[in-house]
Amino acid sequence: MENRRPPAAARRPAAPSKIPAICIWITAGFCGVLLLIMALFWITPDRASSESENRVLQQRPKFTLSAVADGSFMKDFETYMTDQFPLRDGLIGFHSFLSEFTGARKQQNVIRAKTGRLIEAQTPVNEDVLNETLGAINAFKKKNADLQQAFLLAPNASDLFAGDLPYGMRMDDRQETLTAVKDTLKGLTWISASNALKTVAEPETLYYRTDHHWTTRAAFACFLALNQKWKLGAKESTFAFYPVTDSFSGTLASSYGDHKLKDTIEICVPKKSKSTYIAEYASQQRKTASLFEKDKLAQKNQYEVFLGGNYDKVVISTVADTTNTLLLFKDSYANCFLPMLTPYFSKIVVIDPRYFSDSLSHVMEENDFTHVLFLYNLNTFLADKSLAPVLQSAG
Amino acid sequence: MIFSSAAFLFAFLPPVLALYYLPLFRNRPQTEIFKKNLVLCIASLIFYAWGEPIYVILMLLSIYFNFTIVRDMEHERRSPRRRKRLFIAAILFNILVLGFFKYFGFLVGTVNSVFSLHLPVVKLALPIGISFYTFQILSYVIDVYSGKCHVQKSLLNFATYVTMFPQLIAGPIVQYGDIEMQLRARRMNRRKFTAGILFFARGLGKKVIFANTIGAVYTEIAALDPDNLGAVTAWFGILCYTLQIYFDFSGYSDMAIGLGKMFGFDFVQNFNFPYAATSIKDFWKRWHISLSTWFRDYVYIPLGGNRKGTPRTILNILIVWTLTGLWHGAAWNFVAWGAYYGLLLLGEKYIYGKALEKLPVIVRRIITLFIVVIGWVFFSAESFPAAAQYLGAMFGGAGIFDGMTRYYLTANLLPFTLMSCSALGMFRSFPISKNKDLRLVLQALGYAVVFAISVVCLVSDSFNPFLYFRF
Repeated sequence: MENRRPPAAARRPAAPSKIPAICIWITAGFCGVLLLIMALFWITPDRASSESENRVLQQRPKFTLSAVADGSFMKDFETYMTDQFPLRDGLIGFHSFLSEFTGARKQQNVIRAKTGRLIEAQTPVNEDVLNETLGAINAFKKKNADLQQAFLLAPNASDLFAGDLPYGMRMDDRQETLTAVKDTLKGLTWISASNALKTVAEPETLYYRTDHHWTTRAAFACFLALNQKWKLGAKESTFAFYPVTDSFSGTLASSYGDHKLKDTIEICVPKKSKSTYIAEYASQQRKTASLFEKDKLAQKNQYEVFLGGNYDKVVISTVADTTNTLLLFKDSYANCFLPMLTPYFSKIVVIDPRYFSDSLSHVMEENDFTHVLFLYNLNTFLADKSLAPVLQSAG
Repeated sequence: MIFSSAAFLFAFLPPVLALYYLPLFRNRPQTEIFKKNLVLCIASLIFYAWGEPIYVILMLLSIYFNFTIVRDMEHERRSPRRRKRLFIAAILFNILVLGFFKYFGFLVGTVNSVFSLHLPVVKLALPIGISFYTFQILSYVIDVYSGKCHVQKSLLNFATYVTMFPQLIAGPIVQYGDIEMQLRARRMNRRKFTAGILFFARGLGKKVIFANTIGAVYTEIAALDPDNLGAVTAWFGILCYTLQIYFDFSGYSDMAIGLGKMFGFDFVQNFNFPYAATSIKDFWKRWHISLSTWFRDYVYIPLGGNRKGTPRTILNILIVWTLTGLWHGAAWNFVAWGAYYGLLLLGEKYIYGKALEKLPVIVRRIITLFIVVIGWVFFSAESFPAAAQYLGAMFGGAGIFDGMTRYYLTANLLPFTLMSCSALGMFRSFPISKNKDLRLVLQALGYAVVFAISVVCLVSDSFNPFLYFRF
């Protein structure tokens, strides 16, 4: 299919032969398509944002000399052309259909399992970073030996549904890693999330199909395991589940480009003690009387209904009749877990080390904690670099 | 701007074509070609400035300088010594400009590491296409000096030759002698325009559908930890790169040739199924033909080629191939890659070439492809140690299989097979139809589908979901 004609210089102009009539149609067709798409592009109104990609779309850039000189005009214009391309969402949908059709089951970091659910690929373990974190946790435990400390490391969907991965794909069995972490953290009470999740009758309901988080059901099973170890006295029957949305389309669906799959989000609350606490968001200087933010259900990121998202430090004061107070180090897996803890602690200080820039020693001085809980999921924890410096700042 | 972008296809190309063919001065061929070259030249400058709003000035200065110095050189016909002096000045100027922008940082870095110095390294952004247009200018200077071509009297025509956007930023490298006539008069008709469309659509498909898809697989495999990379995955990865670089580059050349035809130019062919080559010598007659021809015509032959005895020929070959490596990028792995081919060509020429010819064609093809693929490891790696590490994985350093091997092989089986067959030229002799007109119709329909899918792919490339709640 290559050009097999000899170089131009070697050719003498031959006597003109008859030009096939079809040439005019091909030429007209090509020019027509270019003009048609160009016209469509300028006629169709520009969109401000994309619902499916959850971002603002590029608008027509302003032509200024400085924007041209630094190249930003050209860059923005090219983005503008693709962002505002006629039928853009339809073309993208057709493209993901084509790519699944030819056999691909992985887009960026997201895998389509045989069951149709989306699964986040595992993050590679960084041994040095992990050892640093584990060392810091052990040191923290030693310094605060009088406190009850527990560790809850949640597996991810790729661990639970390893058998559902697409044909030929295998992921690391991270049981060994889990055991190694458990053995290193000997001083802490180990809450086996894997065992707790095995007690749930329908494993399919433990992780969202469109998102990388565990569901409230999974969190509740682990809460019961923690309850047992810490003897909090919670009973399964005193909690109730309520669905709050059935149109949840999470990060995995966005990355993969699947806009059809939807999930239901449930919340789990103690039946009796509604609105008996105050949450204080330190960095935002904001107080609320709920750990659920209904407003967030109206936006794309519906998982933010739990705690309103991730914040550096949240202080929850409750009316629970107890002297127990809790310090919680966590990632976003804890956000749906938190409400279950409120009846059993009079105060909970929630620290998300990824956003926390203050010194932990202040927090320790201001409060008299009885319990410490670390709650992470494997993918985040194995690559986390933020927990160690925060723990070290406790002095 | 690149050809495979919505901005080029639907904002730049249509108005340029319209202005180019707008019948303003139909009655006077002289003015007509002047207008066409003017439109093409201005469009090319906009095209270049789109990516290099500042360095376009460098290109303009370079054009003006070379235009004048060659003109002055030809004024000195009666004094060969002065003529030669101007010629050397012109060559030096171009090599210095290219050297400064492309190799200065590399040179200082090497000097620093050899002599343990800390000279400040000036990090200059490499002007797009400078390697290509400098070589075209050099071709002009040398062709005129050697008497192969006449001096170009029109600055516009010379500027059109250098800046012409179809081949400006990624070749093919057009030799001045090949295009001298076409700058003054060229045939434009529907047949050529149609051929141009088909070339362009094919090139676009090669780049956007083939190269980008298979390139994504390579990128994913290359990002894996080489210490845990199974040999089969590593081989599959580098084979994907092998396909990617071919379809990317030959696709771009096809688009350039196609656009050239739309404007009435005939450029030289740049690729001819290189992976079906039966020897390394054969490979370089099929891969980036315009570059190897350039080095042959303007370096190897002026150095004496093979006419000055065996030791001199060996030296010439090594010089040419080290330079070829260096031309691809200012880094030692490119030098090594060039020298690798230089040594292999010497081996073929003097040691085992005869023995090789006695082998069956299929065996020769496999051996050649094997050598080429190993070469790509050095070419694709970011550094020398990285290349060595990847080679280690290819030869079983981390076992034969890993957890993803079977997935990669099965999930990409269809596209990989299709692309391999296409790259090896297996579809070339596909019997479509004996009827010429019907064949053209079927081809046109086929390429219409290719064009449509390409547009789908290039719009989807910008699919960029904002991951608002990653944590």
